Amino acid sequence: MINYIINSPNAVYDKYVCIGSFVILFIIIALTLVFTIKVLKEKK
Amino acid sequence: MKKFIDVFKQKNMATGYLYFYVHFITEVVCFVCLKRIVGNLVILWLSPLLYDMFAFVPQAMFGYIKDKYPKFNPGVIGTFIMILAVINFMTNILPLRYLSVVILALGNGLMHVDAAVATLRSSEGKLSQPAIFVAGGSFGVITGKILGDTLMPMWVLIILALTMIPFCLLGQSYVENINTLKKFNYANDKVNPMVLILLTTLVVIVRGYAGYGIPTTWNQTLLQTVMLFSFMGIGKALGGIFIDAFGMKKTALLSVLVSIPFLVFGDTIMIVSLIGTMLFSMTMAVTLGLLVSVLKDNPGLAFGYTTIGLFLGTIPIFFITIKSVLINSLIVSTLSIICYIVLKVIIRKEDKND
Repeated sequence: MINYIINSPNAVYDKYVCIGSFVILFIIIALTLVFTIKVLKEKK
Repeated sequence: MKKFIDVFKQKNMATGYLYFYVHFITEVVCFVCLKRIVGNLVILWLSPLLYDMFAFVPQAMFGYIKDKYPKFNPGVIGTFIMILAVINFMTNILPLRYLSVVILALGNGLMHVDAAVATLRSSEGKLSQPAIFVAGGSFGVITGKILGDTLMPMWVLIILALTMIPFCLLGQSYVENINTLKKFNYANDKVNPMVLILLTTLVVIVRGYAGYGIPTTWNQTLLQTVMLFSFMGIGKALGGIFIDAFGMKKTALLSVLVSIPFLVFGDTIMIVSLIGTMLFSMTMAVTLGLLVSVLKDNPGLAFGYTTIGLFLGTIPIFFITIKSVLINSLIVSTLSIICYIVLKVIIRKEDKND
């Protein structure tokens, strides 16, 4: 399925949705880590 | 047995029951919608991935906001966001293909955060209440999947969603002073807090992955699937109840190590597999208890780590399929042993009077 999304010209929209979502996902995880470090520093 | 019964006499157990209903309805609404998504293979593949992504991952951020601004009410907001998604599923007013799925998932995430924070804040360091709330999801998922195949009209979901609001508001009334969170004390103080958070999340990732790798050849009929989800739900609730009754270390041992033979040898024997699934599901309360013990003033953020871990654990199943029962069994066993070693290090040594 992932190969179809990457290679198929008919799935351009789905490809961007998939990649875009993963980018958002990694930004959120990075923010979560940053806020956690902040919280732990405040606790100290 | 007395210890087990005493758990149900704990203060504020009602929050667990109230949010059990909220979680149940949330999953019913979401899974009826997901079950009715039609289209080509890409849509059927990408929709669940996007749903998991936007339901699970942002919960840490929603939780952090809730921790910082206690007046923020994710339960009521989440209900209306889910209703908006259901209306869009019915009418397609917003034309973008995956928008309804993303809106629905965000609403789902907000509901989870509301329930997690309320149950953790009101439980006075106990884990039965949050575990009972989490258990409602398994029953909701299977009910939603069944109802999705019926002729039930979509507007019924809006009514169901609206019934959650009084439950959320009542649940909020149990939330007490933030200081009760200090009573969560399950984590080993000698381990660096950030390392402990990452190791616990790793356990959640591994368990999330293993959950999909459990060999269940026996599962062929609808009734058997209902049984599987029901035992998952019972296991999640029992995890919290067992920790409150018998302690964190014993529950971790039971859920991570004792479950292995049941899971591996239960491939074709339903009852053995169901016992394994029930024991396996108890890990949820163990990891949540550890994370809240480190992030004491931020229960929302702590809960978010469990959902991020679950999502990361389920990513491989969207891309790789392992069909061999033997390989699956080996992976589940090896990962479970690693999890147990990690948990043994990060769980606080219990005092005799605990």
